[in-house]
Amino acid sequence: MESLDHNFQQHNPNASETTWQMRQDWHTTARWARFLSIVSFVLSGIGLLFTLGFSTVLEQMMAIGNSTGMENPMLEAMLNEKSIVTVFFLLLIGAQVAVNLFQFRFAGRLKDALQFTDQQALEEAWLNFSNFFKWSGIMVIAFIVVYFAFIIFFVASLATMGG
Amino acid sequence: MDNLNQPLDADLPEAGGKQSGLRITPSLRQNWHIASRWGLFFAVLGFLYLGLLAFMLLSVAGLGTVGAGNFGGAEIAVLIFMMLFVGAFVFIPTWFMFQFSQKIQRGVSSNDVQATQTGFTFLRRFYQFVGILLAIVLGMYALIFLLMLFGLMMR
Repeated sequence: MESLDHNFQQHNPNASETTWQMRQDWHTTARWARFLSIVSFVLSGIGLLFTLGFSTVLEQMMAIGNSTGMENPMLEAMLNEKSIVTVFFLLLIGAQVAVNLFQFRFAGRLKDALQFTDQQALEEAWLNFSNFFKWSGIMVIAFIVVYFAFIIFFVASLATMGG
Repeated sequence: MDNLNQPLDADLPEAGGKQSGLRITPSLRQNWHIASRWGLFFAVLGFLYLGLLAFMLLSVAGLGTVGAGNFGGAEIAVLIFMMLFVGAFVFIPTWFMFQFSQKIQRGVSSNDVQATQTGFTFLRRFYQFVGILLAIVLGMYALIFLLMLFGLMMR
């Protein structure tokens, strides 16, 4: 009788038990999520190094440009506003690390949940996953808004210069 | 005497192993629902990008038929090929993300374990695809770096 109930629960689509296929998929997902988060951390580190050496790199690029007779007004403008640009990039990297931390925790907690059959870890894993998607989405929306604002500002300043 | 009313596979373990003891709770469903909604947002963004790409593709193809500017047939063919290439690499993860969000939303709203399971299969495929693509790109960067280093040493 017990095995009949057990069999019924396996084939009942409303059962609240995770399936073997789900756990297999989660296992693979956790491994790739961990890989992606580590790569993202490394890229953030490289970005941080670049941001901290930003003014030096720009000055070098300006020097090369001047020596070859190819002056770049965009580079000059960026060099004039280097503190603002540095703070902007630092904020961007900070946000990327914060968001990526959710993915890293998701991968770690999901692996723990599957390895030790830990329901608490499973709940935390998917909470981190939803936070990761939510904050990534908010960052994307913010990026799109800033992008269009920049275009409008650029076109407006061109129009002002022309007028 | 043996109980002959049992199903044939009653004494076999669940496919692939024992039952895990991990359960689908209301808070898990809620988090999946939130994630699937944002997943749909990412998928829509991906499809919008593909739409823009298709528009550019048609414009470039139009340029090719008119024969405008300095572009020759070969350059336009290369451009079209590159756009199709990029489009394919954007479409696949976008489709996986779209399927993930659709299946999870259906699974969560109607308590359908099969749909939820399919949703997670698409999420796994999405992560696999992006991960492998990233590994290939990183490998190519490493190769270029090594070749540059080799070139500098040979000077």
